[in-house]
Amino acid sequence: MIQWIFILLSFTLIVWLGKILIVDREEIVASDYNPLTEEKMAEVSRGAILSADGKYLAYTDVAEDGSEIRRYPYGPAAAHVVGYIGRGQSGLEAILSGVLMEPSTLISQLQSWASEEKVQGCSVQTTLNIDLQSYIYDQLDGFQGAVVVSEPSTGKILALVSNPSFDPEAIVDDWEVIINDERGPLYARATMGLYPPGSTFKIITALAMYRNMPDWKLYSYECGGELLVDEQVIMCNDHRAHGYMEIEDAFAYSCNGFFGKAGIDMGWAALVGTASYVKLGNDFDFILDQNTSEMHLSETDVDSMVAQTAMGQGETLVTPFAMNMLTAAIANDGVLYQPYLVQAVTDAKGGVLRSVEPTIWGTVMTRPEADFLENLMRGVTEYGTASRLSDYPYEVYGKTGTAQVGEEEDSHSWFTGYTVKDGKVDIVITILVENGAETKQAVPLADAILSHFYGLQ
Amino acid sequence: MFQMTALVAKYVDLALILLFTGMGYYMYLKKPSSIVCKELFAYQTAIIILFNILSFVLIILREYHTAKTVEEAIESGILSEGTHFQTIRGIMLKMQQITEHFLPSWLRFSVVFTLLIYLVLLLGMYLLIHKLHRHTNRLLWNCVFMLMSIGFIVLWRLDQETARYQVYWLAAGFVVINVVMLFFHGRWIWNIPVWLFLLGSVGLIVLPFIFPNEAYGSLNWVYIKGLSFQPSEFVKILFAFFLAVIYTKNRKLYSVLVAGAVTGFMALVLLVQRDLGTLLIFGILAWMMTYDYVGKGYVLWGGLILVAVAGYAAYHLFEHVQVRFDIWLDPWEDVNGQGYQIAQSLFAITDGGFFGTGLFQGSPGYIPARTTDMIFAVIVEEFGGVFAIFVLLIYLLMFLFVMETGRRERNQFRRNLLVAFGILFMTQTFIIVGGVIKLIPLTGVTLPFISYGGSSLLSSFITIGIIEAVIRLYRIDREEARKHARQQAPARPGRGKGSIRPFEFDDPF
Repeated sequence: MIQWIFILLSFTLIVWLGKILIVDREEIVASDYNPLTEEKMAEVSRGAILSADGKYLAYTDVAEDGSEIRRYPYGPAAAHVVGYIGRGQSGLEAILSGVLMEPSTLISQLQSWASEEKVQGCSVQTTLNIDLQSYIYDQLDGFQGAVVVSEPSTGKILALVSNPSFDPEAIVDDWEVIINDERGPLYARATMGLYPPGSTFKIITALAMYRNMPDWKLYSYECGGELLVDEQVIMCNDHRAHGYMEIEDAFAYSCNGFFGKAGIDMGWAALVGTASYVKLGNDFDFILDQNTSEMHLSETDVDSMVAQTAMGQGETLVTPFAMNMLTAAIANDGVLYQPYLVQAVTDAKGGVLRSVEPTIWGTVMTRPEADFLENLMRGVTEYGTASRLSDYPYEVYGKTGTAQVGEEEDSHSWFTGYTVKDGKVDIVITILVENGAETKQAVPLADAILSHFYGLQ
Repeated sequence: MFQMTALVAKYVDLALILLFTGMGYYMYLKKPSSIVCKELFAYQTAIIILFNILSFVLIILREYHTAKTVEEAIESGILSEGTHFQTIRGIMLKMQQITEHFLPSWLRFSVVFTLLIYLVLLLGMYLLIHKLHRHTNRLLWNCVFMLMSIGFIVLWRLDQETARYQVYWLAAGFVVINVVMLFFHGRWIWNIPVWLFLLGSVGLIVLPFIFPNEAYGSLNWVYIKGLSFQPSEFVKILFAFFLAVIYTKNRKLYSVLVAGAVTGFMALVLLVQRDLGTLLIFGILAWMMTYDYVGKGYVLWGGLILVAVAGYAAYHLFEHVQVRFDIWLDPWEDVNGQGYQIAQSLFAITDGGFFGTGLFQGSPGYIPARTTDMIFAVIVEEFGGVFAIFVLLIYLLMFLFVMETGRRERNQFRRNLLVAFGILFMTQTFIIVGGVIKLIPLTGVTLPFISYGGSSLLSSFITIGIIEAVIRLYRIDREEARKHARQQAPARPGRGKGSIRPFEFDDPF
């Protein structure tokens, strides 16, 4: 019996050791307090981070005296994605630290031992279209905002821009300046920024109507420029009276009264139910840190609150990234591909060691639902609030938004939409410009970005 | 070049220990004939020798590697001459000058000297067992040698000075083990009255209060006339003797009560001395021995409840117990303070992974107490998790073997003693390994035969010496019984005596 007790104890030890080495290992190795990370850095030359077309986004430059400097050729343009090292770590530099410090092959390990040189760590190829990313970053100059561009048919993230940004190479020298900057340059607005969705939320309200009102086709509203609920006035943009509206036109012209009224008629549960149906509050298992979108609406809320929420104000907050995912699902007939930013791990010479294949994350809506929304979004770009995008050689679908943030401040400007090229869904683009409703509107910005992307300038 | 050798050596070491352990368990489980056993013992010894040779090659290569690097550093002006090459002073200086004449310049005298002593020790002990201490068991010796060899190479890797002192302690240990084995050859030793053991253990354990060691700042070290040691290491042995004797008595309730009272007193003293590891060992030893003596399941469950209650009380009464416990629950809370030790241990363990970094390739320098209590973390880092598991299996094998020898022993006192020592070994191993890998709260005890430390090593050697002495007594008795039986009942072909088996699996020695 005593033997068995100690045999049991010994096997507990063995199992526990195995557990540490298998389950806990990754977390412990990546700990900020791990002194061995620095030791490793002395032995392994950190691998590079590359764009989709193989341009360096980050690489280690070895000076003549053997000292190493981490270079970021595109500087602030991709800073929130690539991240930095030196003052802690962030972005892909932090998340992929283990991979970047991993000797790419046993052969290279042996070679470096033989030649007493540093081992070359693995490189990482991202899905970023760095040309597009830099262009967008330049376009956002002077404004605060975020742009997300993705490929819905695969889940690739082509651009993920947040402005203001910082220079990762100067992170150590300018640390004080950067963290004291009130605009928050370290804040990755594209994935972390929570904004009121404005009229882009009408996508969800419209879907809620489709799902909850059997006679949504017949639903109409006479817009006089404002809607009075609970003695509160909900105004249409610029107080414009849209007149008699059915859902297509109401969506295209973004009539607040129509959707506010529809929201009240459907009730809070339909809105909350649909938002959760399209997985609004999800993090989509994306590699970068992100805030999850939130929506607060309950039985106790008064009608005016329901109306406000239905037209995109209220207490709803979404990230540009989540809005992009919703749009991607519509573009792809309801099927959302797992968004990914890293497509391959390569050795120093570019030989692929591991690669990522597109996988389906989940079905967010049914095909008829996606078709229904696509039809509405077509109206927006053909004759509605984004008619500026109507004369493209490719089909463009979208929804604009103007999110009020206070009495004094200018509203945020939203655009989310996608293009179809030669009958196939091409890219999804989501734009948010903070306080840009008057000065830097999202639609002209989308126009510029799409023109650049398709080489139409 | 050196790194590649280390890489290869890592896998060779793994293969060696796999074979070693495999043979050990094969003999333990299958009990093959004495001819097979003899052969396997020889193979095991060969494996130990190979392991040591491989380690020596690495050490020498490392010396060469470092010397070249130092040379280059001096040439390039980074390092000024005279900052290295610490040498042994005194009489050795002369010897050194002579020897160095024959040695290449990069090989330090102290390295060769230490390795030579170590080698002589191993060989000497091996011969002694064969010539002087016949009738002892080779499986146990082999396990001890294997663990010692691992300990030596790990210590060398960590700090050469420490390794050299360890060799001196090994030498002392070998002397002690021979004395012990001669001592326990006599029969009179088994008739020492129980109160002597009791007096010995109580006297020793309160010694730190009379001669405190201020240098170490801890309460469980003794300092007398320039000599400092940890008495609890030796109290363990006396305490085991005490339990073994008292549990030979037939008055069950009386024995259990006396043993319980003494254990309680010991536990209190150790609690005040803040030696929680030894406290745990004593507690578990007494608990298991009582279970073995009474033989009823309620002792186990009752003990479990007692442990829980005592643990709860200690947690709330003593701050240092609470601190230990809280670190265990969340070492990351205060990772640069109280949790530093366990965090560094986990960093080292995960750095090594299943196959280790290879000798001299890891960075165990961050682990506090790496040469003593935390040495298991270094083994996992450099030799790898799989190797470390085999080390654990060797301890388990030793334990199982000692328990098995205990079971066949007729003399109740000797039987109890074997059981007690087996439990002592295994408990100590479990407590420190469990602590290092954060399975249980970390309490500072040494890993037998591997950790650096004079008291610990001597105490381990005394224990193993006594175990071997008891095995030898058993065999001598058995041989006499056989002779006796042969005289009594000559030649009855085809039928053996049921009580005397013609062969037992540990026969070859």
